[in-house]
Amino acid sequence: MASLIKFNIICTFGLLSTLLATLCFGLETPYISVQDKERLKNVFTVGLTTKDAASIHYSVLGYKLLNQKIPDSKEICKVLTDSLSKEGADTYFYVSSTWKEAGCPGTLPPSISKYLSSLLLKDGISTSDIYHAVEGLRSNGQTITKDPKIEKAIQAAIKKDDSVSSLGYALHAASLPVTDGVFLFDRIEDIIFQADEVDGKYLQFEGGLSITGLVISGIYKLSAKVNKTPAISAEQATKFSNYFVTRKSVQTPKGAWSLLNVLQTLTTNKFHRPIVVSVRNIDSVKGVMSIDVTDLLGKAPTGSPFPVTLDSLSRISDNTVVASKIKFEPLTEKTSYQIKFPSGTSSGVYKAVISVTPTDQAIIGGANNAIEIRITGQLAVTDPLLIAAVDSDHFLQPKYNKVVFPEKLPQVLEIDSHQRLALRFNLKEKSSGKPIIVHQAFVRLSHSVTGQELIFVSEKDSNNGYKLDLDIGAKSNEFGSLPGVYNLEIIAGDSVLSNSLQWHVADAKLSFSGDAKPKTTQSMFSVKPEIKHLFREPEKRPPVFVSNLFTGLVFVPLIILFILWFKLGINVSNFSLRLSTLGFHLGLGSIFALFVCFWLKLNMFETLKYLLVIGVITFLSANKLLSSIAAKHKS
Amino acid sequence: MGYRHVYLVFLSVFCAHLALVHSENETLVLLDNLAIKETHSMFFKSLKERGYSLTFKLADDAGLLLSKYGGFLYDHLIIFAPSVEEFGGALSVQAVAEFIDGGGNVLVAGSSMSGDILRELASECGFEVDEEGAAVIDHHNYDVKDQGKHTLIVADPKNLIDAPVIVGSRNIPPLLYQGTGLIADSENPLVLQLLTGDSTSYSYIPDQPIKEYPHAVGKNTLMLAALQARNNARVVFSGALYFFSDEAFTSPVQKNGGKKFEVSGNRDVATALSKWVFKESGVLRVKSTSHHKVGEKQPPAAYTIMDDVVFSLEIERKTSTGWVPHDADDVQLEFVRIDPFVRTTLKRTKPGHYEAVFKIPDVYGVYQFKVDYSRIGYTTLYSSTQVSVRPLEHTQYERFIASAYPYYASAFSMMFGVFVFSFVFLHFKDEPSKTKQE
Repeated sequence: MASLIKFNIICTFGLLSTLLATLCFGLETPYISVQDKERLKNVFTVGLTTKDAASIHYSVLGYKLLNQKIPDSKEICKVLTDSLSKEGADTYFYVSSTWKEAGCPGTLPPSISKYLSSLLLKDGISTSDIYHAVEGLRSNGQTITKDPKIEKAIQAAIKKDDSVSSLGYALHAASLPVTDGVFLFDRIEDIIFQADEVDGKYLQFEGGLSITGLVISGIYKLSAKVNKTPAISAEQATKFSNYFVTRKSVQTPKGAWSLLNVLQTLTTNKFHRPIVVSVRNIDSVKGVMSIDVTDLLGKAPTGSPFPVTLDSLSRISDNTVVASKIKFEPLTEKTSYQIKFPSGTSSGVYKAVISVTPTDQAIIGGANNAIEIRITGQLAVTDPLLIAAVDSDHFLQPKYNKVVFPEKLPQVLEIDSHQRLALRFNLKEKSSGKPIIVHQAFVRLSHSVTGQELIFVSEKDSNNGYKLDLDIGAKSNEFGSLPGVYNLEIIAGDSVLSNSLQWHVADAKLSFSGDAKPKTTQSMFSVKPEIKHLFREPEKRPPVFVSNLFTGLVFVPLIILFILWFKLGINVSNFSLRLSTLGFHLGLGSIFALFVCFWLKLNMFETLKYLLVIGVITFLSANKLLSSIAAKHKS
Repeated sequence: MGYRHVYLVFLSVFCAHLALVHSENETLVLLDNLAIKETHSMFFKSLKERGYSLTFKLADDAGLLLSKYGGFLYDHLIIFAPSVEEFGGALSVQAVAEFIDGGGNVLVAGSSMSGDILRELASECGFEVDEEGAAVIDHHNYDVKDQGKHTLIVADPKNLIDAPVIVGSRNIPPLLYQGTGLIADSENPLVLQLLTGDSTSYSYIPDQPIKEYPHAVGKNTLMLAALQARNNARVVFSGALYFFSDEAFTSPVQKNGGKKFEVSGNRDVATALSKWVFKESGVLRVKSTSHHKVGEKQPPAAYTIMDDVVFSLEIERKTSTGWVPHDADDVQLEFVRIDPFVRTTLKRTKPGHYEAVFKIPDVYGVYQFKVDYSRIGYTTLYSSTQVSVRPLEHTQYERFIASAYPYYASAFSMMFGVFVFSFVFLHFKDEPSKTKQE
């Protein structure tokens, strides 16, 4: 079977029934569309502003392929002239091949041709240098004639380096007038053999778009020169085209030029010209599908219009064929064809096998194009929805409240943990009025304060309707036992429906038997609560007055002593002024004074230090004093 | 000639040294096929422009190696290989997990056809990838370019996580997403739900009728998820490789029947996300800490209980131009002896400079000044300084207590009494007159 460009499509059509037909906007086409060309042009526009000869070369050639005028040639010519300072076959090739295309005035210096000619005489030159040198000479106005030396050089180069890129340049060099190209033509089969297949749909060479483009365009160029069909099967050619089309989002000037150049080759060569079938529009209301049959650049292939037939149309879900062997009618546009589906084709996903039978054998990829199409319908809710809170142990037919779309139940439904929430509703196809089964028929309960949502999948009942029975008590864990008013919504949709449904049906007040579970984990990212240290409370003290009173009382005995002494009269005439007497009393007084200082500010060690000095003096004086008193008594 | 040899030897040693010293942003990119390099060229280009050195390898390349001689060869790992069945070479889920444990950052993108190995990797990081073939479906929010299955989702930027440091501004055009759904355990505090679906979205196999409860429904449907591990290694998991593609970056976005935006917001989010995951943004560090008693400049050898202490801290944030002061109003200081005794918010005195003044508790022991600052999107900031707090010396207690004055007074009156009495006792002379009377 020929490789197929599978292409899924959906056309969405207006939500209003009065809008009969719609177009598909922004669809990914299996060819280079006008939008894609515009995008590629932007890539080239950016490329033109660079200071790099290669980017400018590809951008200028890209502009030419897109039939665009070069905007500012002056700046480009300046960059090209500047880049000549860097010697090399590729730079000289870029400059000389771009010079005229960019519309630069004057001719390039003859040193370039001299350099390129001398390069060709060197040994061990690579295929890319050969190609660049010969092509560079040609664009400098030199006449190129057949040269067996160059043919030998190419052969030597591919012997030394047989990588795909080397072979690609060899193909291009061989298709120039320097050789007859026959020597390389037989290698084509080997080269193609090196391509990698991806997903069974694409063929590419290692190295991506540029290399693959280089090789494929080289093959067709050489084949055109040799005038023989290359050793590429139609299937392989289609797989390569598939690969190129998937790469249309390329962002570099080189890649974009490679893409356009190779697609140009694939649409104009005389051996293989792949065509692609794409759906333009499906009008599900009228049951009309129109398709495009184009070449890879989105143009009508030569010989259009072709006979196009819908071989079969089968529903994917149950594999029933609903139509077969219907001829498409060509429309006024050369690329477009139209068909009317048999009446009663319901909405769904279908596989359409379309065959294009061109007379020209070179046009390939026409047979058995399988395309997945979606005929869309519209969702309608015509029957009222039934909703009720039912006791769990109550199995009789409950008393339902009816809600009509798009209204909302006026009262708040109260449900406790011993009850079930029962919901019954029907979804219909709008045009046929038949009940339909949709992919998504969910019931969403969202808490009106916290926004916490829970979604339940409704079940199908025996009459193709939907039902939901929700045992609130059993689900209390999922609700986190959070009581409150929940918004009850029905969400329905399907990929074969052009509209979807989000219907706020009712508010339900749920209550649970257990307490609401507090959130167990605290987020590690939040600010933590502040902690203030609680200092120990000082102990309670008696009032200052009491202390002061007792302080006074403590002095009373001393005062009494003095009063009594005063009354009695004291005779201290035994006192004699001597050193020991003076020393003892002063010492004793100092010791007591030191104790006062200790209380006021000194610490223990300082006190002991002073006490030692004073204590020794006092001790010696006291000893002297007491012994003298004792001696006095004896005498 | 001798000099020349020496010079050559020196040069070769130098070159070998250069080869060993790897630059800061070595990144290994694992791909399903090399076409991904082209289809995602804008994303890779933006990385290269920001100074990353990207090494592209096929995910099943037999020579894959993450670490050598006990060190990692790369700082970052990008796995854009949704359908890979088995990693090549020495790479395995275990090796990637070790890479994350070693502080490496990983960006992974899956698709609807994610292989088992990505599923395993995801569960190592705390997410789950929905089963094979499943895609995020939203019949209410799909793009007009959708190919009929309603899986090309137009994601509202409002569903992005409220953390500009990770995902950038939320005021951007809608995002395009086409891929599988992720599920995260909401109890896992390290997992960040970067982009969730709308209430109307769910993740299921599009071509099969819903028989079981979908793994991800409504707002639990995750599209982008992230993990910042406790060692600050970052992992971003996207359910869609498409999210980072050139196509998604350049496509216009139009919700079916909605407003058209010329270009999607994917590029902005992908750029912000790559900056975050590869630690260009959201990286904080402590520049300096200091502490001392109020009115002093130098820290003491030990604090005494109930001292007033000043703790100051400088925080910096990494930007493309260097480290700049980081401003926040919620940095907290803890004064910890096993448990925090004091937790207080640091006041910002000037940009990036924070200060707290508090009274040391009346409990002595070995304490730490601890700053443990983790906020969504930023690396965890941790600083601890150990100090000892001792009890009062015997001279530091209160001396003049009013209720003790009677005791003081009695002691002093006694001392005075002894002094006077000793004088009188020693020098007393009986009245001679009395003796005469007798």
